[in-house]
Amino acid sequence: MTCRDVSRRASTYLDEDLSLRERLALKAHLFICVNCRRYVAQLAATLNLVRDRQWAGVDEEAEDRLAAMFRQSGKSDGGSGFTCT
Amino acid sequence: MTSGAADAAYDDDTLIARLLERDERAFRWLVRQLHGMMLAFARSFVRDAALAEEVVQETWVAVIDGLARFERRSTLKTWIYSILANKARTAAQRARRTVAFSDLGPAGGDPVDPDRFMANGHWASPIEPWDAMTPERIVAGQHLWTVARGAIELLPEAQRAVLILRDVEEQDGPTVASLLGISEGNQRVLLHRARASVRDALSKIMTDPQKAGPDKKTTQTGQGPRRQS
Repeated sequence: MTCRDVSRRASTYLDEDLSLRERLALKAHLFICVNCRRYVAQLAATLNLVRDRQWAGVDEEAEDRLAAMFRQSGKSDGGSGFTCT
Repeated sequence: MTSGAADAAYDDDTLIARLLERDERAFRWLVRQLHGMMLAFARSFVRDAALAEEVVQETWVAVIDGLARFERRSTLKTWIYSILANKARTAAQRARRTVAFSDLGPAGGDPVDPDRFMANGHWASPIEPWDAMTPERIVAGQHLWTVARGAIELLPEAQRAVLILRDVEEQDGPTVASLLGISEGNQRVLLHRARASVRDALSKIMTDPQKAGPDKKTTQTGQGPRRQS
Protein backbone atom coordinates (compact mmCIF):
# COMPACT_ATOMS: atom_id res chain seq x y z
CA MET A 1 0.00 0.00 0.00
CA THR A 2 1.38 3.40 -0.98
CA CYS A 3 0.84 6.80 0.63
CA ARG A 4 -1.56 7.63 -2.13
CA ASP A 5 -3.54 4.48 -1.37
CA VAL A 6 -3.65 5.52 2.27
CA SER A 7 -4.94 8.97 1.37
CA ARG A 8 -7.73 7.30 -0.60
CA ARG A 9 -8.72 5.05 2.28
CA ALA A 10 -8.05 7.26 5.30
CA SER A 11 -11.58 8.55 5.55
CA THR A 12 -13.15 5.09 5.31
CA TYR A 13 -10.58 3.83 7.79
CA LEU A 14 -11.64 6.48 10.30
CA ASP A 15 -15.27 5.49 9.76
CA GLU A 16 -14.18 1.91 10.56
CA ASP A 17 -15.62 0.76 7.27
CA LEU A 18 -12.51 -0.80 5.72
CA SER A 19 -12.36 -4.52 5.22
CA LEU A 20 -10.13 -6.36 7.66
CA ARG A 21 -7.57 -6.99 4.98
CA GLU A 22 -7.37 -3.33 3.93
CA ARG A 23 -7.33 -2.17 7.51
CA LEU A 24 -4.35 -4.37 8.31
CA ALA A 25 -2.51 -3.23 5.19
CA LEU A 26 -3.16 0.39 6.07
CA LYS A 27 -2.02 -0.10 9.65
CA ALA A 28 1.15 -1.77 8.45
CA HIS A 29 1.83 1.24 6.27
CA LEU A 30 1.17 3.67 9.10
CA PHE A 31 3.67 1.77 11.19
CA ILE A 32 6.48 2.61 8.81
CA CYS A 33 5.36 5.98 7.43
CA VAL A 34 5.42 9.11 9.56
CA ASN A 35 3.81 11.25 6.86
CA CYS A 36 0.78 9.02 6.62
CA ARG A 37 0.57 8.75 10.40
CA ARG A 38 0.41 12.51 10.53
CA TYR A 39 -2.06 12.72 7.71
CA VAL A 40 -4.47 10.21 9.25
CA ALA A 41 -4.14 11.79 12.70
CA GLN A 42 -4.83 15.23 11.25
CA LEU A 43 -7.84 13.95 9.37
CA ALA A 44 -9.11 12.41 12.61
CA ALA A 45 -8.56 15.71 14.45
CA THR A 46 -10.48 17.48 11.70
CA LEU A 47 -13.42 15.13 12.14
CA ASN A 48 -13.38 15.60 15.89
CA LEU A 49 -13.47 19.33 15.46
CA VAL A 50 -16.27 19.27 12.94
CA ARG A 51 -18.30 16.88 15.08
CA ASP A 52 -17.90 19.02 18.15
CA ARG A 53 -21.15 20.85 18.50
CA GLN A 54 -19.97 23.51 20.90
CA TRP A 55 -19.90 25.96 18.08
CA ALA A 56 -23.51 25.29 17.26
CA GLY A 57 -25.22 28.57 17.23
CA VAL A 58 -27.51 30.96 15.58
CA ASP A 59 -27.68 34.70 15.64
CA GLU A 60 -30.02 35.86 18.37
CA GLU A 61 -32.23 37.78 16.04
CA ALA A 62 -33.01 34.70 13.97
CA GLU A 63 -33.57 32.66 17.12
CA ASP A 64 -35.99 35.28 18.49
CA ARG A 65 -37.84 35.49 15.21
CA LEU A 66 -38.30 31.72 15.04
CA ALA A 67 -39.29 31.57 18.70
CA ALA A 68 -41.94 34.23 18.06
CA MET A 69 -43.23 32.14 15.20
CA PHE A 70 -43.30 29.11 17.48
CA ARG A 71 -45.29 31.02 20.13
CA GLN A 72 -47.76 32.29 17.58
CA SER A 73 -48.31 28.93 16.00
CA GLY A 74 -49.56 27.58 19.33
CA LYS A 75 -52.19 30.24 19.86
CA SER A 76 -54.97 28.63 17.92
CA ASP A 77 -55.61 24.93 18.15
CA GLY A 78 -55.04 22.91 15.05
CA GLY A 79 -54.98 25.60 12.43
CA SER A 80 -51.69 27.28 13.14
CA GLY A 81 -51.98 30.00 10.58
CA PHE A 82 -49.08 28.45 8.79
CA THR A 83 -49.60 26.23 5.86
CA CYS A 84 -47.94 22.91 5.76
CA THR A 85 -46.77 21.86 2.36
CA MET B 1 -42.73 21.61 33.52
CA THR B 2 -39.65 23.17 32.06
CA SER B 3 -36.15 21.87 31.89
CA GLY B 4 -33.54 22.77 34.46
CA ALA B 5 -30.27 23.73 32.87
CA ALA B 6 -30.73 26.01 29.90
CA ASP B 7 -28.43 24.00 27.70
CA ALA B 8 -29.07 20.48 28.86
CA ALA B 9 -29.28 18.15 25.92
CA TYR B 10 -32.64 16.62 25.11
CA ASP B 11 -33.25 13.16 23.76
CA ASP B 12 -35.72 12.90 20.91
CA ASP B 13 -38.68 11.70 22.97
CA THR B 14 -38.29 14.39 25.60
CA LEU B 15 -37.72 17.04 23.01
CA ILE B 16 -40.77 16.09 20.95
CA ALA B 17 -42.93 15.95 24.07
CA ARG B 18 -41.72 19.38 25.15
CA LEU B 19 -42.28 20.84 21.72
CA LEU B 20 -45.80 19.49 21.63
CA GLU B 21 -46.35 21.11 25.02
CA ARG B 22 -45.26 24.35 23.38
CA ASP B 23 -42.12 24.64 25.47
CA GLU B 24 -40.35 27.58 23.90
CA ARG B 25 -37.10 26.82 25.64
CA ALA B 26 -36.98 23.41 24.00
CA PHE B 27 -37.70 24.99 20.64
CA ARG B 28 -34.94 27.55 21.09
CA TRP B 29 -32.56 24.78 22.03
CA LEU B 30 -33.41 22.91 18.83
CA VAL B 31 -32.97 26.06 16.77
CA ARG B 32 -29.56 26.67 18.30
CA GLN B 33 -28.57 23.10 17.52
CA LEU B 34 -29.61 23.07 13.91
CA HIS B 35 -30.33 26.44 12.37
CA GLY B 36 -26.81 27.53 11.40
CA MET B 37 -25.96 24.27 9.67
CA MET B 38 -29.37 24.10 8.04
CA LEU B 39 -28.59 27.42 6.40
CA ALA B 40 -25.24 26.19 5.13
CA PHE B 41 -26.93 23.03 3.91
CA ALA B 42 -29.68 24.94 2.11
CA ARG B 43 -27.04 27.04 0.37
CA SER B 44 -25.78 23.84 -1.24
CA PHE B 45 -28.99 23.84 -3.23
CA VAL B 46 -29.82 27.50 -3.60
CA ARG B 47 -26.89 29.81 -3.83
CA ASP B 48 -28.80 32.91 -2.89
CA ALA B 49 -28.44 33.54 0.85
CA ALA B 50 -31.84 35.20 1.24
CA LEU B 51 -33.56 32.36 -0.57
CA ALA B 52 -31.71 29.82 1.57
CA GLU B 53 -32.94 31.62 4.66
CA GLU B 54 -36.47 31.52 3.35
CA VAL B 55 -36.20 27.80 2.71
CA VAL B 56 -34.95 27.16 6.23
CA GLN B 57 -37.68 29.30 7.72
CA GLU B 58 -40.30 27.39 5.72
CA THR B 59 -38.76 24.21 7.02
CA TRP B 60 -39.19 25.35 10.62
CA VAL B 61 -42.81 26.20 9.90
CA ALA B 62 -43.36 22.73 8.46
CA VAL B 63 -41.62 21.17 11.46
CA ILE B 64 -43.82 23.04 13.93
CA ASP B 65 -46.94 22.23 11.97
CA GLY B 66 -46.11 18.64 11.25
CA LEU B 67 -44.61 17.58 14.55
CA ALA B 68 -47.82 16.10 15.92
CA ARG B 69 -47.95 13.83 12.89
CA PHE B 70 -44.27 12.88 12.96
CA GLU B 71 -44.22 9.10 13.07
CA ARG B 72 -40.71 8.70 14.46
CA ARG B 73 -39.54 6.25 11.85
CA SER B 74 -36.34 8.27 11.82
CA THR B 75 -34.72 10.60 14.31
CA LEU B 76 -36.12 14.09 14.62
CA LYS B 77 -32.99 15.54 13.06
CA THR B 78 -33.19 13.24 10.03
CA TRP B 79 -36.84 14.14 9.60
CA ILE B 80 -36.08 17.87 9.75
CA TYR B 81 -33.27 17.53 7.23
CA SER B 82 -35.44 15.51 4.88
CA ILE B 83 -38.04 18.31 4.94
CA LEU B 84 -35.27 20.81 4.36
CA ALA B 85 -33.76 18.83 1.47
CA ASN B 86 -37.15 18.62 -0.23
CA LYS B 87 -37.88 22.29 0.17
CA ALA B 88 -34.41 23.29 -0.94
CA ARG B 89 -34.64 21.07 -4.00
CA THR B 90 -38.00 22.57 -4.94
CA ALA B 91 -36.67 26.09 -4.44
CA ALA B 92 -33.66 25.28 -6.61
CA GLN B 93 -35.94 24.03 -9.35
CA ARG B 94 -38.06 27.16 -9.12
CA ALA B 95 -34.91 29.20 -9.45
CA ARG B 96 -34.06 26.99 -12.43
CA ARG B 97 -30.98 25.74 -10.81
CA THR B 98 -30.03 22.17 -11.31
CA VAL B 99 -28.00 20.67 -8.57
CA ALA B 100 -25.83 17.96 -9.97
CA PHE B 101 -24.98 16.19 -6.75
CA SER B 102 -23.90 13.12 -8.62
CA ASP B 103 -21.35 15.04 -10.66
CA LEU B 104 -18.08 14.20 -9.01
CA GLY B 105 -15.91 16.37 -11.17
CA PRO B 106 -12.46 15.49 -12.43
CA ALA B 107 -9.91 13.05 -11.06
CA GLY B 108 -12.17 10.13 -10.34
CA GLY B 109 -12.54 9.39 -6.70
CA ASP B 110 -9.28 10.71 -5.33
CA PRO B 111 -9.82 12.78 -2.20
CA VAL B 112 -6.32 14.20 -2.34
CA ASP B 113 -4.89 15.97 -5.37
CA PRO B 114 -2.83 13.40 -7.31
CA ASP B 115 -0.14 16.05 -7.83
CA ARG B 116 0.75 15.74 -4.19
CA PHE B 117 2.17 12.29 -4.80
CA MET B 118 5.22 11.12 -6.67
CA ALA B 119 4.93 8.53 -9.38
CA ASN B 120 5.71 5.80 -6.86
CA GLY B 121 2.76 6.83 -4.69
CA HIS B 122 4.77 8.51 -1.93
CA TRP B 123 3.95 12.00 -0.68
CA ALA B 124 5.84 14.48 -2.84
CA SER B 125 6.46 16.73 0.15
CA PRO B 126 6.33 15.75 3.80
CA ILE B 127 3.19 16.17 5.87
CA GLU B 128 4.08 18.82 8.43
CA PRO B 129 3.10 18.08 12.01
CA TRP B 130 0.37 20.19 13.53
CA ASP B 131 2.79 21.77 15.97
CA ALA B 132 0.58 24.71 16.50
CA MET B 133 -1.82 22.46 18.41
CA THR B 134 -0.58 23.88 21.70
CA PRO B 135 -2.78 23.98 24.78
CA GLU B 136 -3.32 27.68 24.15
CA ARG B 137 -4.58 26.94 20.69
CA ILE B 138 -6.89 24.27 21.94
CA VAL B 139 -8.37 26.72 24.42
CA ALA B 140 -8.84 29.08 21.52
CA GLY B 141 -10.78 26.34 19.76
CA GLN B 142 -13.26 28.91 18.61
CA HIS B 143 -10.70 30.12 16.11
CA LEU B 144 -10.15 26.62 14.80
CA TRP B 145 -13.83 26.18 14.32
CA THR B 146 -14.07 29.48 12.47
CA VAL B 147 -11.44 28.23 10.04
CA ALA B 148 -13.15 24.86 9.65
CA ARG B 149 -16.49 26.54 9.16
CA GLY B 150 -15.02 28.83 6.52
CA ALA B 151 -13.58 25.81 4.71
CA ILE B 152 -16.95 24.05 4.82
CA GLU B 153 -18.62 27.11 3.29
CA LEU B 154 -16.09 27.07 0.46
CA LEU B 155 -16.57 23.42 -0.43
CA PRO B 156 -18.25 22.57 -3.72
CA GLU B 157 -21.98 22.28 -3.06
CA ALA B 158 -22.41 18.53 -3.14
CA GLN B 159 -19.39 18.02 -0.87
CA ARG B 160 -20.69 20.60 1.56
CA ALA B 161 -24.12 18.98 1.73
CA VAL B 162 -22.61 15.55 2.37
CA LEU B 163 -20.11 16.75 4.96
CA ILE B 164 -22.75 18.65 6.91
CA LEU B 165 -25.06 15.66 7.01
CA ARG B 166 -22.39 13.05 7.70
CA ASP B 167 -19.95 14.76 10.01
CA VAL B 168 -21.71 17.73 11.52
CA GLU B 169 -25.13 16.14 11.89
CA GLU B 170 -23.75 12.60 12.17
CA GLN B 171 -26.21 10.92 9.84
CA ASP B 172 -25.21 7.54 8.42
CA GLY B 173 -24.12 7.00 4.83
CA PRO B 174 -27.29 5.32 3.49
CA THR B 175 -29.48 8.03 5.05
CA VAL B 176 -27.39 10.77 3.48
CA ALA B 177 -27.34 9.09 0.08
CA SER B 178 -31.11 8.77 0.09
CA LEU B 179 -31.66 12.33 1.36
CA LEU B 180 -29.57 13.71 -1.48
CA GLY B 181 -30.66 11.23 -4.10
CA ILE B 182 -27.16 9.96 -4.85
CA SER B 183 -25.56 6.55 -4.68
CA GLU B 184 -23.77 5.46 -1.54
CA GLY B 185 -20.54 5.24 -3.48
CA ASN B 186 -20.84 8.84 -4.63
CA GLN B 187 -21.77 9.89 -1.16
CA ARG B 188 -18.56 8.35 0.13
CA VAL B 189 -16.37 9.96 -2.51
CA LEU B 190 -17.87 13.38 -1.84
CA LEU B 191 -17.36 12.91 1.88
CA HIS B 192 -13.71 11.94 1.49
CA ARG B 193 -12.97 14.92 -0.65
CA ALA B 194 -14.76 17.28 1.66
CA ARG B 195 -12.91 16.00 4.72
CA ALA B 196 -9.57 16.23 2.94
CA SER B 197 -10.27 19.85 1.97
CA VAL B 198 -11.23 20.86 5.49
CA ARG B 199 -8.12 19.14 6.81
CA ASP B 200 -6.01 21.10 4.31
CA ALA B 201 -7.56 24.36 5.43
CA LEU B 202 -6.84 23.58 9.08
CA SER B 203 -3.33 22.52 8.21
CA LYS B 204 -2.55 26.03 7.07
CA ILE B 205 -3.00 27.36 10.58
CA MET B 206 -1.94 24.26 12.48
CA THR B 207 1.52 23.87 11.07
CA ASP B 208 3.98 25.90 13.04
CA PRO B 209 4.35 29.33 11.45
CA GLN B 210 7.27 30.21 13.72
CA LYS B 211 9.61 27.51 12.60
CA ALA B 212 11.90 30.06 11.05
CA GLY B 213 11.59 32.37 14.03
CA PRO B 214 13.72 32.58 17.18
CA ASP B 215 14.60 29.32 18.81
CA LYS B 216 11.64 28.06 20.78
CA LYS B 217 12.76 24.61 21.74
CA THR B 218 11.22 23.43 24.96
CA THR B 219 13.76 22.76 27.64
CA GLN B 220 14.29 19.11 28.12
CA THR B 221 16.00 19.38 31.49
CA GLY B 222 16.15 21.82 34.36
CA GLN B 223 13.30 24.02 35.46
CA GLY B 224 12.15 25.17 32.08
CA PRO B 225 8.54 24.70 31.14
CA ARG B 226 7.95 21.18 30.07
CA ARG B 227 5.14 19.92 28.03
CA GLN B 228 4.09 16.35 28.45
CA SER B 229 2.46 14.50 25.64
